[in-house]
Amino acid sequence: MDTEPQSLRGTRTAAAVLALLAAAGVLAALYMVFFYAPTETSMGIVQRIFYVHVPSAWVAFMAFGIVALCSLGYLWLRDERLDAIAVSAAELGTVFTTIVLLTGPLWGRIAWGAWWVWEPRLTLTLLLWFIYVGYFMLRGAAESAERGKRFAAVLGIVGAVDIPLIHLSVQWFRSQHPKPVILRPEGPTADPEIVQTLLVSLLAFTLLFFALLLYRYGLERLRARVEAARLRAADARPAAPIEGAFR
Amino acid sequence: MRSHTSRRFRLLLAAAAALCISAPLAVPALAQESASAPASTPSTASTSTEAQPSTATPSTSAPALSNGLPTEPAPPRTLRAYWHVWIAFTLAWLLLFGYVVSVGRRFGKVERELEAMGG
Repeated sequence: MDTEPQSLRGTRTAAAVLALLAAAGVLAALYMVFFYAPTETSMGIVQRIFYVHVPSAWVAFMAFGIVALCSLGYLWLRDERLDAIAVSAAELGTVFTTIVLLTGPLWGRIAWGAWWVWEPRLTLTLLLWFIYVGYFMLRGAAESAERGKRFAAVLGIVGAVDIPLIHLSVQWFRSQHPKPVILRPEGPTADPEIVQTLLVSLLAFTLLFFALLLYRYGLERLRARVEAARLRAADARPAAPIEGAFR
Repeated sequence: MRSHTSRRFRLLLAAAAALCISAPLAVPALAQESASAPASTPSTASTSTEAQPSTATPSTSAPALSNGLPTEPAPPRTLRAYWHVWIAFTLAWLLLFGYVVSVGRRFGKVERELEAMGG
């Protein structure tokens, strides 16, 4: 019984189901962002960027956390599936960090009067983006695929150290970046409608992330199948006679 | 054979992206409406102090009211802010849509390769 194509089919079905749920979540979140959440008093309309910026940051951090965990697992168990999840999560994390880095300056230009400020949280987030761009460069640059996976796994683990630094930087340093409004010891301080909208956006982005992760993971497994088929074909092929041998 | 799942997935994302891009267009009229009515409630005002950058005025209390009207000047509501919101949402969804298309293309390529190998 060929279990590999079956598991691939299962992955795709799960991705499709999650995509449907994510689509419903995104629609609900968009409705709440533009029709339910009140316009914030001091910043006005530009505060609505928050509903795409914060969930993207949350998903990016989760993605890089998954990269670190799966990389650790890969280095320990050498299971190719863990590497497939790690590379898929790293790609998605890079996409979502790009969204964070693009939407932040659009808010900052109106709120701060500057596109970019070299303050701790922004700088560390940019560093995180560069670390994961380096992750892919390292994978591609190694002389063997196996070495590339190992090096990238180490970078994936080291890079994740940046995540708590980003989160805590607003508390540790003098930072221009707004402090958290939800994850506070004394509870959320924002308006309930704003908190509800943010929570729905977070849920929608999380569902979207897992749908995309499964979709991308399916591609990685399919690639592994092609690679295995190629190796089988190379093994089955009779060796070409070497000219001049046994003469 | 191109997979139906990936095609359906891309179609779904395309519809979502179109919706996401068009949604912020509805904002200007809506924002005017909400700015004139409940935006000056104290709970919303307390949010403003949280979401403000630390360099902004560090007032932690609700804005002073005189005859039910805020005495502090209203925040600037320029057209530029609307543009920034629109660009932010459009960029985010276009990027995600582009990513899905890119994975779909890679999927197609690998599936063709597998087919050519008789897998």
